[in-house]
Amino acid sequence: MADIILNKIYVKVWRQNSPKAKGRFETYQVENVSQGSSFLETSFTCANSMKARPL
Amino acid sequence: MSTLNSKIPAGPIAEKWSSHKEKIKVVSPANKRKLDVIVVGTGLAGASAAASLAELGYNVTAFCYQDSPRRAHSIAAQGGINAAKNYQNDNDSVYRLFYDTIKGGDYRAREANVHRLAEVSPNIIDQCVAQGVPFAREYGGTLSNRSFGGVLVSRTFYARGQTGQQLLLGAYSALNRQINEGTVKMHTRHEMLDLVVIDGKARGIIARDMVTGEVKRFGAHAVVLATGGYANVFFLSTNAMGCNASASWVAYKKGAFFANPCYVQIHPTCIPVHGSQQSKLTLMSESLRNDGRVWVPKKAEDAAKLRKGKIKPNDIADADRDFYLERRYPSYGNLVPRDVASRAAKERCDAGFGVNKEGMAVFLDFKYAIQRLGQETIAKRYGNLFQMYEKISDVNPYKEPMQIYPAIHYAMGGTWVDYNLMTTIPGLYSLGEANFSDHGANRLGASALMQGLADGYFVLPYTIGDYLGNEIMVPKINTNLPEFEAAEKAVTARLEKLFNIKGKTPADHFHKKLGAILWDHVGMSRNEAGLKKAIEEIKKLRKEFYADLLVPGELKNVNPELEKAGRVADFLEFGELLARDALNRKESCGGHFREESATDEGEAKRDDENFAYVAAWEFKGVEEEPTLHKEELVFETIQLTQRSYK
Repeated sequence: MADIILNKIYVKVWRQNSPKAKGRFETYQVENVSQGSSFLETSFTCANSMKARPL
Repeated sequence: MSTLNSKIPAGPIAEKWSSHKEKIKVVSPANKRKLDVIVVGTGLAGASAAASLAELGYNVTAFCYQDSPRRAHSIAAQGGINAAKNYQNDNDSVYRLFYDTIKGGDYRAREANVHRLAEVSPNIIDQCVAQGVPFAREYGGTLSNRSFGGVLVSRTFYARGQTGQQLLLGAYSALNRQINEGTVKMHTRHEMLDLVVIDGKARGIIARDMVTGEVKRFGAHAVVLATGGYANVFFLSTNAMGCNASASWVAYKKGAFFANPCYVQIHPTCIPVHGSQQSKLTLMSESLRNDGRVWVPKKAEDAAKLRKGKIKPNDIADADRDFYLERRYPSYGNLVPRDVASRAAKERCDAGFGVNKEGMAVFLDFKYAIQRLGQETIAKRYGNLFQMYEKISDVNPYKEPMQIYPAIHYAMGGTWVDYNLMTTIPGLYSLGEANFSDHGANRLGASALMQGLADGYFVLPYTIGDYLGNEIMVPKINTNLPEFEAAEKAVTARLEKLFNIKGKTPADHFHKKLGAILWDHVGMSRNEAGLKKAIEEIKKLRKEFYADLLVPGELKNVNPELEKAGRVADFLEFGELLARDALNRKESCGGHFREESATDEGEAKRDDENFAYVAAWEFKGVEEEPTLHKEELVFETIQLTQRSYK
């Protein structure tokens, strides 16, 4: 299927280990994002790509 | 071993329900207070059931995995709800709704249940109007109707393109009234993970608190599942991401037979798949086929130019457009049932007439309706749907035709139930999309809302009394009994097992793979070799899942990945049953199309001699073959004929 892939998408993710723990933003570069993706789908791609590590 | 007894009352079809109600037990108000009922799922079926049972006086405990019952997937239903009111004076009747539903389901539904559904359908509209549901009205104040597929009358009541949402608000407010009265105890963000069966009867559930991760026990005299359908087994579907089959699946593993899993509805009008990472498909309501005309180019070279973006749809003259539904089915035209419309779209696209880049789309065009009725009228009828379409596709459907393609939408199969909506486990009921009973092999549009509310408001509140009437001497169910302890231990052990695999691959990856296997081999067109292959591939995938699953986070905390892992684990077992059922049913019927069984014109060809039965499967072990039980379908009222919409 013809699909345009984007490799330079940056997302800031709020990380918080439990309801009372202190949270923080982490920045990720997400690769291999289909141009047709919604924001939520982009975050799935991020979550599912175990290569994604905070920058 | 259970045997199937559908408990269909004797007598003429139109009198079965009324005579049944006269004969079944009624529980006195003083005794209702002593009886506990668990309702799992609070969409249209669950919320209406919980509210009605509580109003009757039972103690109800209700569960949903969402933040609020307001978030149930029923909310997404767009087009409408059918009822045999005959407001249009177009010769509609209970019989005609009954007949259309049996025929639409390709003669694979149980007559008695369907007739009851048609009988109570007018009451649903009255009930909802009384709740304040804002159905569309004519200028003079009377309720308005539109048509849906597979019928020749206008009997669909609607609230713009958000009928499900408005009906859910009605059911939700009825439920909230009971919550406020203290007659319903509501547990949101709780997921049912096991059914507790004691001495052969359903006596409670084990649920995980999705906020704390705590695994809890809940007891009751009866358990009602209103947990929706299994369409998400295909990964890409129009269902919400959270929709799952786990509650029905644990019930199956505890002895509730699962019926007709191969009957899956593929909805013809969805926004086509784009790109490679899509996780959700968007439905465009069937009601659009009232005014939209479906077409592809007549000439293959025009289709090729469209795919390359060299021409626009409006560049193609009317004479060069193939309105293939109108051509093939002159009497029903664009309003043929969903299964027929879906296969016709696939046929055109497979023949090389698809109109988007992927070649997997057809047009749904409003140009003609706008010419006839004006843009304002079309906007009033479908405004929110047009807006949704434009937001997703960046194409203005007032100016250019919509592109649509079939997608997985609804599950006709489900937990087997008798006429009282009780499963093969005494005391366990199944309502709405979760059961199998009313839609046969294909559901007609606007009938899902009707069935969910019929079951919850007007059927279960009567039939549950027949069972609970024998339970009045049973004290409150003690959740310290060994059966509860064993079920809780099993749930905890399973969660730990999933969590401790510590592989490299998240649950979604397996879910996508499973979906691809099912779509390729158990989708719109099925054959023996493909189905056998699917079963083997699913088994293999299940092994990979248990070897390489990664669940991050913690067990005793909010953990969406853990929730997903459990649901995907169940889908990996359920998907195999779906394929097995499709393999067993060698005929084509409704949404189930076996390439080996087609007419010369490519239509589904039934085999009534060998397959006029409900296939109810009994669990024998994950790696064991399930046992098939057959409930013969007896047609006393309607004569079986090959379905024709020509």
